[in-house]
Amino acid sequence: MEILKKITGFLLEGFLTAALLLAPMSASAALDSPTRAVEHDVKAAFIYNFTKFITWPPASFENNSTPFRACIVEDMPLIEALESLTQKSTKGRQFQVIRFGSGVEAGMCHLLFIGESTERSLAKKIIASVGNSPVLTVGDYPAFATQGGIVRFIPFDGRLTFEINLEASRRSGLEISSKLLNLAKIVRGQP
Amino acid sequence: MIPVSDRIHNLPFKHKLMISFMVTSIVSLVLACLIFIINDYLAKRYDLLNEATALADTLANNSTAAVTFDDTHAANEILLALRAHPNIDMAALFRKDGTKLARYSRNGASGYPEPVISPTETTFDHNTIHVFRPIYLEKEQIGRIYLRYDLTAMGVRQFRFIWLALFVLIVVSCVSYAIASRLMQYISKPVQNLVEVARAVSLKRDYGIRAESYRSDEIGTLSESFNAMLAQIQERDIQLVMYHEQLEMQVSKRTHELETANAQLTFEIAERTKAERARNLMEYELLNSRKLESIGVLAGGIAHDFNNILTAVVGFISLARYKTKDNEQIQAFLKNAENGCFRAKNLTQQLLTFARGGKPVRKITSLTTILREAIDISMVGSNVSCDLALSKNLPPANIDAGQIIQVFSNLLINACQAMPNGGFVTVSGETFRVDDESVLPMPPGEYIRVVVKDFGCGIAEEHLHRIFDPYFSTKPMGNGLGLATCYSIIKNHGGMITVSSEQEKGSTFSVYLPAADRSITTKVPAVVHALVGTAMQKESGRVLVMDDEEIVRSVAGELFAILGYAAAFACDGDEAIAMYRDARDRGVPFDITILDVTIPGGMGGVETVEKLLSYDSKACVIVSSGYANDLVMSHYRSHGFKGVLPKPYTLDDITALLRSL
Repeated sequence: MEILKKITGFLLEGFLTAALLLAPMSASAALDSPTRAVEHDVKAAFIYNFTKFITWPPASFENNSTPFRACIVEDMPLIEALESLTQKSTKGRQFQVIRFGSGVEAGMCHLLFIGESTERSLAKKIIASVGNSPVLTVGDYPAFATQGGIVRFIPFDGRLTFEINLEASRRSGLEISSKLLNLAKIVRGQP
Repeated sequence: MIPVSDRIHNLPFKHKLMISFMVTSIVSLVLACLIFIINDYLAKRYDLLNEATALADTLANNSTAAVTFDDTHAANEILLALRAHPNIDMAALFRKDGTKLARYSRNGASGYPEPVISPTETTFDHNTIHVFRPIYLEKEQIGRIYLRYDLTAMGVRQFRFIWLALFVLIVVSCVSYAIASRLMQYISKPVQNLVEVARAVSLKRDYGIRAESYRSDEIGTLSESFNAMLAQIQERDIQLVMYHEQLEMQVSKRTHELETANAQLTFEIAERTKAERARNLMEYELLNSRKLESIGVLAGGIAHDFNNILTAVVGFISLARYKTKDNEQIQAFLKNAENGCFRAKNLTQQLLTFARGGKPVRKITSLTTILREAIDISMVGSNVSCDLALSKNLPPANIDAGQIIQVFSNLLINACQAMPNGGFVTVSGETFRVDDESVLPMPPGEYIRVVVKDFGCGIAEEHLHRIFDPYFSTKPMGNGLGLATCYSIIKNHGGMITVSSEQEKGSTFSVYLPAADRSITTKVPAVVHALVGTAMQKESGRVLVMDDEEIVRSVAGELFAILGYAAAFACDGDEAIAMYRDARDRGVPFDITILDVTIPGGMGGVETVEKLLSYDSKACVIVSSGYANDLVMSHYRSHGFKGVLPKPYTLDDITALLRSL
């Protein structure tokens, strides 16, 4: 009973903290389904913050005013959560959120999120289309890393943690900060 | 309890120097150590602060991801790295909103709790540094890191430093003491020497001592200056002695001058006193002589008139006697009347002498003779003996013998009367010099002083200043003219008479007469009035009598008539001359002309005789006057007179005169 209480408190505390941290961007999402909305908000914040610890090769941007393009596959709540962050910038560039669909090439994205809801075959296909282009692939389903994704969200102990596939990241040419790596669980994915 | 400053003041110079040296070194050393320690402390603290800040910044940088992703686990891991830093005993990571993300503490150190509002600045505690640093991610502050730095270790280090400083202090003090006591000698020794010299100088007062001269530093200069000062003092001493001697000389000179001046002053005061006395005496004399003069004019007038009357009385008595030769009884009466008249005549003579001063007929005479004669006259029949003591070589005097005899007779008679029971009188004579300093109001020169001293009743003091006044007498029978006449006579001789007296002891009269040149002494015929015998021989002739008084003319006529002379009379000179001429012109000239000296309001005898003689040089003119002592009477020949007929005169007098012609 004591332990349960402690765990619940901790979890609650963690989420609440994140919520507070990311409060401005989660306002609308939090209304219909609080827990889900908080989870999306946390994920959106993580996605946005990842950009700060990862360095893209200069060639991935056409010019200095090219926005940072974060492409989200199908996950509408996350898109909504991220929309609120489009006012912000990262590394001096505008943070742009793009819904990945027809007409959108994986190569033009700097970050590509593939959620749990996406069909695995499609996901696999999209990841494959990315190939070795400097695109940070982020996902939240278990096989994501092994499929060639770079960062995967892992809910753990009431918190949101993530793992990083170092080989995938090395292939993509992205430089991931050691600070971020210190937080992540490192996986040796499929070559 | 003596104050410290006083104690230091009283210390010897050497110790003072040492103390100041040591205090200076120790204080500077302590200050140096203190500055060193403080500097070390501050530097160390600064270093530690920098170190802590750097460490905090490193940790902040390392923890950006952990803070961004709110990873407590990772944050704690990061903080655990602080185990390598033993001085950091506490650390914490805070989120953006101030809540704590992670916490680290060494050995369970408590202390900085979890502040809700954490301070932003670095602060220092007693021995801790609190470092707060922000955590930035892409210029955005995402949280804050806190480190607590424990400075206890540094305190230990500081302690070590202090001990070291103390050790250095002691060692350096000892060394500097040793050095200072060595070096101090270079300063204190010359000063000591100087002090000893100064003390020796002040004790022995020997300014010949000199201080040892050292090198050319300040003390050397001081020694030289001191020596120079001593030399100056020595020189000044010599000068002082010299000045002192000069001063002494000047003082003695001034004293001498003062003494001289004082003597001069004393002399002048004496002079002045003497002059004062002389003036007083002179004033008295002047007053007296004026008084006597006015009295004399009065007395003279009375005497003159009285004498004329007496002439008539005496003349007619002698006529009466002539006519009554046979009647012895009448002769006796007339004789008495005549005697009375002679006394009256004497009185008028005295009065006249006093009044006109009776210009003396002077001859150079020895006073010895005069005094003897006066004594003989006055002492006859007296029970008083006289002691005459005259100094040898007493000079003669130019005097009227008769008058002077009268003076001394008067004095001697007075002396005898002062001693009714007998006794003796001393008469002494000596030369006396009156010079400029003499008190006596007489011109300087040689005088003869004759002192008549009796030992009788004396004169009362209140009478003393009046005794020379005429008609002042203390004697029942005295007429008061004696001393007045004496005074007048002596005065006319250019001398003076003074008196001093003490009651019941006696009186002393001093008579001063000018001395004459002793070489021209002449023998003086004795003044003796011997009447010629009364045997008469009738003669015949004509006589002219000039007199202003009717009564004198008539008696003269009667007297000459008895002698066989036809008398004619004139009232004054003019008439007399006219009659003389007329008679001569008619062939019946006058054989004898008798002229009165003074004719009030008319030509007197002296003028008339001149005119008569100019007319007839062989005229026999006789002068007649009541003033027996008149100069004309005594020097009649020089005026051209052939004889003198003093008034009043008797038949015998005329007979004698006629015989002498």
